[in-house]
Amino acid sequence: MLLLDALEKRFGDVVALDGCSFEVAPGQMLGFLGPNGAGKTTAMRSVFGLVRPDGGTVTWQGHPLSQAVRRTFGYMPEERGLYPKMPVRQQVVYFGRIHGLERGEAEAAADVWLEVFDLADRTDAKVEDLSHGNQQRVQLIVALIHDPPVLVLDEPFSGLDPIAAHTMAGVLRDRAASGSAVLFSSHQLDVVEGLCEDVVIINDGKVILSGRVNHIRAESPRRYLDVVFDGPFDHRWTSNLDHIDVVDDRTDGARLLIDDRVDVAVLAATTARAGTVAQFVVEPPPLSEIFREVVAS
Amino acid sequence: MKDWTLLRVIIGREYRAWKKPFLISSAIIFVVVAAALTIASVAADQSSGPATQRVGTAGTTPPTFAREVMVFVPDEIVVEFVPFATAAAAEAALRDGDINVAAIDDDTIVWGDGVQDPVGDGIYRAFANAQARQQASELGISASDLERLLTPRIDFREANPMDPEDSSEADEAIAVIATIAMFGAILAYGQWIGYAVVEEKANRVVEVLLGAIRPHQLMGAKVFSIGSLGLAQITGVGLLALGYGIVSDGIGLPSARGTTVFWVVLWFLLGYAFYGSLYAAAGSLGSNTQEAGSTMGPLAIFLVIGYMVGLVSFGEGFDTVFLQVISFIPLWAPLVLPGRIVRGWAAPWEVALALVIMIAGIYGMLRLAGWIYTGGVARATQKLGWREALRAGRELGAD
Repeated sequence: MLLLDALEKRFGDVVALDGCSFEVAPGQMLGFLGPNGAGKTTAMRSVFGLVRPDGGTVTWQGHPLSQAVRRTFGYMPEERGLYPKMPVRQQVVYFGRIHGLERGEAEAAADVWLEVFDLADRTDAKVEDLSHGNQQRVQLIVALIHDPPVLVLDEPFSGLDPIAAHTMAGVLRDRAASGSAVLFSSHQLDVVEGLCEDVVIINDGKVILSGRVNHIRAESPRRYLDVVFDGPFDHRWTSNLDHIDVVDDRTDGARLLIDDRVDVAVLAATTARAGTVAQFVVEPPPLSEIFREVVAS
Repeated sequence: MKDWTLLRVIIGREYRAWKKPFLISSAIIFVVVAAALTIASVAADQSSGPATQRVGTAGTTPPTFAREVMVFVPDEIVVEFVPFATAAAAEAALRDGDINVAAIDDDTIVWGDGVQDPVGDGIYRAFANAQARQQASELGISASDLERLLTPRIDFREANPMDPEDSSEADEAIAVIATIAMFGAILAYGQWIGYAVVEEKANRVVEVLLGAIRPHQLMGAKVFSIGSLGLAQITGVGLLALGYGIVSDGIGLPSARGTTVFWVVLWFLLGYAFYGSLYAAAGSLGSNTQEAGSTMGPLAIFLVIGYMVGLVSFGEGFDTVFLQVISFIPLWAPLVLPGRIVRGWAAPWEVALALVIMIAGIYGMLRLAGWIYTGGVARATQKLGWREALRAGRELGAD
């Protein structure tokens, strides 16, 4: 278990961390969310000793982190850090060795990961000659190559195209499935929602919400109703309904925001009277809305 | 993984990264040095005058003059005698540069341009001896008496003969060369170290590295690897110069004492390590190579002070309290102390104490550089002052 416990950090007058606590278990993939300046990067860097907290502790499996233990972790900083003129494979092998692999092990692992990320044909290319997305892939391989028990990624999806993002998401799932504790930050909340079971939301250095994504969404008093009609329908069907807001009025239906006073069965019956219903989906608000709400409050 | 293995991996990468600039700069330096040696050799040949000296003779010169010339002029000088019908013709040839010296009758020698000792002195003494033999013959002095007259009977001694354990000119020459070489090497290769540091900072690789390795270890590996490349280059230049000298029969290895060589090499390495760390710290203050250039600039002032004081210390009577004190300061000890040791001015306790302070200074400088380096990571986009970077580094918790 990677535990960040009551972390405090102040840079001059700026409070970066204010009693920040959360944990990531082996096999867990935790999305770490927060607005800019919330303290995400400071918390992540504290895991690697790049920030010394004014208070609180970071432990792994109940023990304070030593340099030797940190060396086994994988880290992808927000500002990418690669040698621009170093060939891709050489660079990956180098970082593998820095993280404790023997040369042969590092070379074998490099070949596997370069294949996984579709970079096998770019092994001799200099990093500076790669596209941004491919540089991002190399950066992730650098964090992964030594099979780390803890993977900390600061904005790993930033700047990736959908295909690259899909590949990266798949790799992170695999890592978690194989027992690694995966912590990553992202501003792409839809990606986090699709990828993580658990999230921590931080603001002003404090954890303001944490837990299972499904639970967090389910605990919201609001729901969204998506209705699609098949053919013509009465466009005034929502006019007599209480406790709803029409969020999106479309030609084939509507998206409504309903609160917990609305009886969904009654609503379904009303909707059926308006026309032939092709789709009737009630769902909790997306994570991005909950995020905006808790951060604003 | 053991720390040493980790350092070896980092050092190996540095060697690979610097291989190309190292080879290119080495090739350029070697070509320049070879050209300079060639030019210097040609100039030396020209300034030392011709290997063949033409001596014009006119009238009746002392009969044994030619034989005496063979005795008194060094063997490597070929003396060619050119007879002239008249003194005027000989002097005209001298003015035209056809001959170097004119010997006229039994009492006149006229020198031309470019006749220097030992050639000039040899010809003069040969003429004087030949003249003495001629006069002795005219006075009826026997050949054996003449030999007694011409053989000096002088008990020549040095009041303070040189002890084999005392420093020789060769010892002092080695120390001076080491001081100059250290000054040049630190100026040149220190900047390599600084630029390597700022490059790693600018591209943010250091943030990934510092998650796995302590800052002072990273600094140490960088100083060692780039520093050793610089040392290899300067050693190569030295060997080139020595080899060139041996081949051209111009110079040889000075016959300095082993202890002298030991001390200058030891202090060279210590000074190099200290300043290498200092340059690493200075380089980390900038956010790009231009800024690093300006942050490293002031270090040259310290170097110049040490260099000037170091060279002055080789002069007689300069072993002042100031020099004794400055010999304990790591910034200047490597440039000042070797000269004092070679001349026997530094007591053993002074050397021992200076060594302890120097080694502690290198260790402290490595840690300081590590802190400053770590401090710079958090503020990669701005130029930092020394104190600001140090404070930031310590705050960030560099080990």
